[in-house]
Amino acid sequence: MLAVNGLRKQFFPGTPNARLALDGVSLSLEPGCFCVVIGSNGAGKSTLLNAVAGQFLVGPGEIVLDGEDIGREPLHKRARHIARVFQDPMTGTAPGMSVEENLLLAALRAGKRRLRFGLSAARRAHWRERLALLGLGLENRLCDRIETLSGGQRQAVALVMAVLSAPKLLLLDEHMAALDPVTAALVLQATARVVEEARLTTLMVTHNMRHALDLGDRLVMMDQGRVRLSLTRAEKAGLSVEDLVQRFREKDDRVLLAS
Amino acid sequence: MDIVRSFIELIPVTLAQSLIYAFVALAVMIPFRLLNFPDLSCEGTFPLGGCVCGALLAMGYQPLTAMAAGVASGFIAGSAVAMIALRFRISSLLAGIIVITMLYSVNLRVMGRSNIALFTYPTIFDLMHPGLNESLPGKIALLGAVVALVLGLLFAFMRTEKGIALRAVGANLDMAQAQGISVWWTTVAGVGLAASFSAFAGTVLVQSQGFSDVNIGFGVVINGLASLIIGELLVGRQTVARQLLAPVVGAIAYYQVISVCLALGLVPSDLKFASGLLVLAMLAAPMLFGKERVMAREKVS
Repeated sequence: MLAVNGLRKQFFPGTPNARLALDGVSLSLEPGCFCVVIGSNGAGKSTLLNAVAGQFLVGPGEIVLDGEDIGREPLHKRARHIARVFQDPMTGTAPGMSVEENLLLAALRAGKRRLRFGLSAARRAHWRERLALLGLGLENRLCDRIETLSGGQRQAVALVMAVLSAPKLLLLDEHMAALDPVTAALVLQATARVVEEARLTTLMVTHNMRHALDLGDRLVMMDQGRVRLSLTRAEKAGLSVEDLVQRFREKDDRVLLAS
Repeated sequence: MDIVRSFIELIPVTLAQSLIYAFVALAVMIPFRLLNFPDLSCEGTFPLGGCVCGALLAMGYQPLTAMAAGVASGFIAGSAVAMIALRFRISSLLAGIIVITMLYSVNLRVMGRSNIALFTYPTIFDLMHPGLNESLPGKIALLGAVVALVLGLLFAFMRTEKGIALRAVGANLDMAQAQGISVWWTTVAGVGLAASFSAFAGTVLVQSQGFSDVNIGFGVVINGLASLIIGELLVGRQTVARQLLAPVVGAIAYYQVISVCLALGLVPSDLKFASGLLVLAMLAAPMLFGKERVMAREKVS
């Protein structure tokens, strides 16, 4: 499980551009919880995700994963337990390398990379099986270079890569934002399936209210570096997109009144 | 006809020379292409390998010991370049220049003077077969075999789990880190490996020519770059095998071109200018012809 306690992060400290991106944000996810984070631009959603992944070190606050404070670990060490799918399909895969070589790197994320040929028949068979589940025909393209795949296909591979070595935490960073609606729907289905299947603890950032309502056990709304609203599956069950937008506005009004 | 004859006579000598310098081209290629860490420090690690090897030979050490020490010193120097660039966030090229400059003093310290004659000491060639150093065909066969062996080993390595991780760091830094790969250690080891090839070339050269000199590195980096570019033009770089083959094929081709220039009567001291011009032309070509042509075509259509 993941516990984020009082996390603060200031960008450009000590300059006129200083901005408090995370203002003591706290969030706790039960094991297997699929949490969706929404919020307007600059609310701190992506900063929170980056902080948990280890993209930068945060100021005060702690990040606890399975009872272990990982807040001071470098990114590549956290990657043993944390998998991530980026917004840009190009970021999550390595160009110039084949689909299977990309998958191999993901399979070795939690373990040691040894001086031996990693592309075994057993591994290939296993990957083919996993890719076939997506229904995109990717199981026949193991030897193709990853850049010959479309953006949506690359993102689907990135998703398979992320769950290949059973991470303790899965981070999804607006991973459908750069895709066309049809492909996004496919990746959405795949996301729901893999997360559901492995009961992965998941933190997903999205701008899509519909996705936020349909997916996940929990919905969190962030604003100005804090969690402003947290809904359980039961609480959000009756809500429509309009209701959610209304909650957004209310929050804005409150901010206006307070200032 | 004299020109043709003198060129043909030069072919074996040039071939032996290019098989040594192929390792320098390899040392340029690995950081530049596989790690995306442009590093030109072979200008310093090449003479470092030669000087360490020469000094140890002159002290009475066995050729293999002297060569191992030379290669190890190259590894350390290459790793130092990577560490400086990564730790202090300095451009890799600048880090390389700093190390090259410092190595010049190191080389003079190691040898105690600017050059050492090695004719009287046993070399690796003598160790393999007495008189091998005087036999060009023998030398070419031996060097060719070593080049082939190293290429084979490198190709196998690039397909291992460690090798694929190394290529991932060069292909996509963010992805590599997100897959748990330490960019620091991979780059330090990779650049160190490349530099040890460059130092290895230095150890072979000093034994082949019979003397060690602090100035043997002057201009090797531009030769290595030119070799790499020509090689990539000839064999391409679409696959790992081609990318590994390119510097070797390029080095062989490049030194033959140089040989033609010499046969045509070009003064050796003008060669550096010619090499620089060649590299510049190759680097400018896509800008001058590629994109311009594409844009022109787009305008037409």
